[in-house]
Amino acid sequence: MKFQVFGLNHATAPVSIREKYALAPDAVKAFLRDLKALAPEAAFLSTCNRVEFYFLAEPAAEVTALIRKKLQAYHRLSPAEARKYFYRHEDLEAFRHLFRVAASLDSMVVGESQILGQVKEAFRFSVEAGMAGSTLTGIFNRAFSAAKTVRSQTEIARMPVSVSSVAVSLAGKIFGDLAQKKVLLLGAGEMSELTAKYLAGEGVADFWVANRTLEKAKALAAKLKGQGLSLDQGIAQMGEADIVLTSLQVERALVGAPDVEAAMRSRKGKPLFIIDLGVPRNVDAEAGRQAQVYLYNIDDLSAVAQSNQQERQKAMAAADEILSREIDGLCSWLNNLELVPTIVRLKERFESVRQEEWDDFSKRLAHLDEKDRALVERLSRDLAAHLLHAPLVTLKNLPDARERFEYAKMLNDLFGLWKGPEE
Amino acid sequence: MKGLDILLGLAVAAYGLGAAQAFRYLAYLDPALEASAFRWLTWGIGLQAVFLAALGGSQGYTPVTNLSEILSVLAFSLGVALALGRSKVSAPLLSVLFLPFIFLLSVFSLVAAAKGQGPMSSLLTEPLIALHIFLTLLGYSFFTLGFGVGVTYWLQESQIKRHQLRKWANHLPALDSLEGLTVFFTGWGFLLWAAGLFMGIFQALKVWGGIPCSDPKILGSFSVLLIYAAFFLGRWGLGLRGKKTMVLVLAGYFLALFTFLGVQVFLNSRHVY
Repeated sequence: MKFQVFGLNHATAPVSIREKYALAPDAVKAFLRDLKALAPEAAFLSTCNRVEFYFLAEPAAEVTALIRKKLQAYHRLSPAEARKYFYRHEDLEAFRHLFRVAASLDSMVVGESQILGQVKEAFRFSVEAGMAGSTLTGIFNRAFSAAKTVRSQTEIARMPVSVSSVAVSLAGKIFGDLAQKKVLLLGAGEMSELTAKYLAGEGVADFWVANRTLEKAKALAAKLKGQGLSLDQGIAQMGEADIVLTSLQVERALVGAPDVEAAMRSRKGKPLFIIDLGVPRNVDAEAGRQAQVYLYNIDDLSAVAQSNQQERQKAMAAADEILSREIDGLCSWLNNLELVPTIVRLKERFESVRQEEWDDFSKRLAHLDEKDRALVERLSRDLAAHLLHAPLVTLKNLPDARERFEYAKMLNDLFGLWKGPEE
Repeated sequence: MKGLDILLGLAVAAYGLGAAQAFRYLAYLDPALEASAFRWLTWGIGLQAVFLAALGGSQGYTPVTNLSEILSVLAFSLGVALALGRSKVSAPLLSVLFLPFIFLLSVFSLVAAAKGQGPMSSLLTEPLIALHIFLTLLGYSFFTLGFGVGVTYWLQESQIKRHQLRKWANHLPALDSLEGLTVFFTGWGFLLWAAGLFMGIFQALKVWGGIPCSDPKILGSFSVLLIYAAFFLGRWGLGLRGKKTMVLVLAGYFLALFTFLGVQVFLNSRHVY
């Protein structure tokens, strides 16, 4: 059976199309069950950036046609429209695709961490629907393991690429453990709230929120389980905070260098991280020159995010190399599953051809005695065995797992041991 | 001696494997490789501890009397300091920096041992002198690690301050952890160095009948203590943090290095080495 992937993603289809094909979890299970007759092992991955079916089937065309038909019926898309956005890969290309997806090399934001969880979820659905046999399980488990290796051995996921995550990562580089740190928010803007939530995710529990409108400050403080303050109270509180996050709409800097200097005096040399998300800037740039003060404005954070994104792109070559090694390992494992049946089927095919020919010829050799007829039949057997011997030895002795896999596949196609794909 | 040579050879091999794993960590950034490097380091420390104890036992005095022994003790004490630091804060790049250095020291020690040197002076076999040397070498090792961490802090701090974060910044601990680690190494170095000097004073009184305060080695050693004392006073007494205190760590180390190596080369001292 061939491992295949059929689907669409952010590179082939715009969001207006992708959203039409997304399925709810219950629908996924029902969909998988409908496929069972044709594809005994299958998984369905549906995220905001991709909709993909991974399956083991033979022939593939029937399965893809069924998937297309079902999706078209479900979403009322014309066949031509659907064909435009879909892609299909099989065997090595399909392995490579799955491994790249799981390792987040095929993501819109390369290296994002969500996708691995989503692929795991897709596999879990497949298991629950009774559609994950030993082959699909082996392939997916190796994809998960490869993704982990890529994450731990390359820079692909180490560098944050959004402004908020860069800010939180910087806080970690300064303070290490953020659990005991205190955060002051000056302004209750959306970006501040998002960054504060990231910080809360890292264990920060002490928040003060100061705003011109006290009610707004209190509302956000309630969300963060912190304390709401007036703006003046907030600025006075700066010396107590380890991280100050500003996002106020002001005409000129609200926090001056003397304010920060005063805060630093009461901090007795402890570092202060100021994240200025306001435009125009809320904090005077001079404040950042003071020792132990780390001041980042929105452009500084964006520049770090951009440079990190470039680093992630550079790390892709190393990640692809790791995936190639892992795919070799997978091919090697699959060889043990594929090679033996291929050899058995090939021998059976030769034997059936020989038998057919012998049945035909034996009638024409009726004039021979029993001994001579047995001799000719033996000749046909030996001839078939000799013809098979060299290719089978070569196949078994191929050192490269991928090559062995490709040869086995080729033999299957050449001798029609499986039915080939029909488009 | 053959058994001892084998022990030292095994220790060197363990350090070598640790250094190799540290370099592999640098190439693949796999934490498992750093953990493996650390396991080899602990094997190296263990084997070298047995070697030093056995050597001391067979000679009848602490093995700090010639170049081979000094290098061996230095490699051992750096290993101990690194292992203690690593148990406090996980800083893989420190292992990468120091393991090859420890390996090189142990190789030089092995090479020097092959030449079969005896004690540089019979005075060095005195128990108090040996203890004086052993403690100051240990102290020096901790200062070296403190210096390494201090430099790392300096680089990391500058990157964050100037908004120019390089790729390797992701593999360094937080500034807070680096500062804590510097205090840890420097604190232990200070205590061991001070204890070593204390032993030295006893021996000086016994051998020289007084403390030759003008001896550059003694002057340097006490100045090192003063600089590190200023570091602790600044940190705990005046609330100084960050680069301001790191300057003292770096200055203290450079003076310790000069006292340890430079004095014998550029100045005259009554010390054997």
